Order: sequence, then C-alpha cells, then structure tokens
Amino acid sequence: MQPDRPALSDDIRSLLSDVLGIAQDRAATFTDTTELFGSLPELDSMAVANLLAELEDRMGIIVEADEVDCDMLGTFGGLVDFVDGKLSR
Amino acid sequence: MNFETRWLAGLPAFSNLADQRFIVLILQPLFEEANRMRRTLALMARTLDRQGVGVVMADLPGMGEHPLGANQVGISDIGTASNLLCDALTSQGRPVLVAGFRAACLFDSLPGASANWRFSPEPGDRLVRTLLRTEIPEESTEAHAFINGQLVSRAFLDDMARLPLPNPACLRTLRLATDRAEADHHVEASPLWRHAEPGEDPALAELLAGDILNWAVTCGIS
Repeated sequence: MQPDRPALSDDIRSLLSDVLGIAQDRAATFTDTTELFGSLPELDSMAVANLLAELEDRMGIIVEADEVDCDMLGTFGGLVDFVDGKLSR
Repeated sequence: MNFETRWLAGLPAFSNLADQRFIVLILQPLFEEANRMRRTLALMARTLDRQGVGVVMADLPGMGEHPLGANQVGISDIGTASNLLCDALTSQGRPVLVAGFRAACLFDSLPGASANWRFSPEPGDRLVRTLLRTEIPEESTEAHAFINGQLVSRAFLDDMARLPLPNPACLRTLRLATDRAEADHHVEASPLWRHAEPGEDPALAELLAGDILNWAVTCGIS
C-alpha cells in the first residue's frame, strides 16, 4: 500500500540521512521548501547517483535518466512529489 | 591472523588455512562500493578469524590493488580468477563458504564451494545502470567510461549488464530492512555502499559474521 504523504516524507528524510550521512535531527527539519541540489553540499553528482539507486531499492520504483531534473531534485517537496507520483502509477 | 588481501602471481598469499574449521572466501563489491565497505568487511573478517575460521579477502581483477587495472579487465577475468581462487582454497582440504557482496554475487557460483552466502546482491543491469549514472562523459572515450575516477571498459559494462544472479545450491541471502527485494533475512543497517565516504559499522560486521557462522553450521560444514 502506498504510504500517505507525511509518512513518505519521513521515509525520504531517513533515506537522505542514510545516503548523505547527515544527522537525523537535521534531516527532520527538512520541509517541502528546503532546497536540495545546489544548496545541500553533501548532495553532489555522485551522491545523486546513490540517492536514485537507494530510492529504487526502497520504493520499488525505476527512475529514468530523463526524469532527473531541477524540479525533482531542487527541493525536498519536489523529491517527495516525484516519488509520490511514481508510486501512484 | 589468516586474513590476506595481497595477490602474488595471480593468487592471494595465504597460510595456515588448513588449520581452520572452514574457509570463508569474501568476494568484495566491485569498484567504488568496495572502498565504501572495505572497513566493515575487514571488521567482519577479523570476527570470523577470532572464531577459528580462515578468511580470504582478495582483490579481484580490475579492483583494489590487483595488478590488472579497471580499464583492462574483462568480465571473464573476474569469473576465472574467482574459480582459480576457490580451487586453490579447496586444495587446502577445508570446506569453502563463498560470501558475496553486491556485484560480486554475479560471480559467486563456484564449483568448488560448499556453500554460498550473499549480502544485498543485485543483477548486472541494475548495477551497471547505477555505475553509469556517475559517468563523466567529458572524460570518457568510445571504449571506456570514466566512472568514479577511473576508466572502465564499456565491453565489461555491457557484459556485466547481461549477467543474471546465479543460483548456487546451498544459498542464503541477506538484505537491508529497507530493501524491498526478497531475502532469507532482512537486517537493520545503513547502506554503506551508498555513503559519500567510506564508513564503518561494527554492529553490522558482527551481525554478518554471526550469520555466516550460523549458515556454515546449517550447511554442515562447520
């Protein structure tokens, strides 16, 4: 069953904490408007590749190369929206 | 301590393995994932060593300190080296349990092995897709992809993408609790191979060593 959006947000905070090595209490402060790629120093291009692979493993989705853009990775809310959309299909 | 990572003349140096209850052949993840997991695998190997188990953790062709570079390695080199290694270990007269991690599980079905154990295996196509996400096209050539700071043969990547996970007879698979794929057991831990920097997880190392020991008992080789 697809998790509701707050639960999905928590799952993605946990994932970001694991992959980027940032403290859980810091990840817990992420809101929909928190900027990610370009603003979060831990999220470089290598980390993006690992983030996408981990999203696929945990969420059971496939992320195609042409789906990765500024809307998807620009903000925490954008990332949650992307995964939510994938799970709804 | 019977824990060796060096290769001499194509085979790892090892000693006194015949004195051990059995031998664990650790097949490490490939490329950058090996660097990120190496410290935890070393902790796991030391735990096994303390239990009187022989441990060999060699660098496979194209990886780590192996003399064959990533730009030269072919997919058959890894399979051949794994088989030679397992044969050399079984000649010590002790059973060999192959512990494969991540991409190495593509090469872990070795005729000489008495049992297999895996941690977070993935089929070749998924692994290659993740590798290619980190390619830097400006540094790549027609024959080689520049990935994680080194050139990797595209022929190698193409061959790896076609490899399914083999099905050895006496197999146990562990995965992380966050991984949706099927496994015999899921464990609570962080995916070290996806961290930005190499890390160390002593609790996971102890857990994995314990599970390998239990699996050896189940398979009747300990």
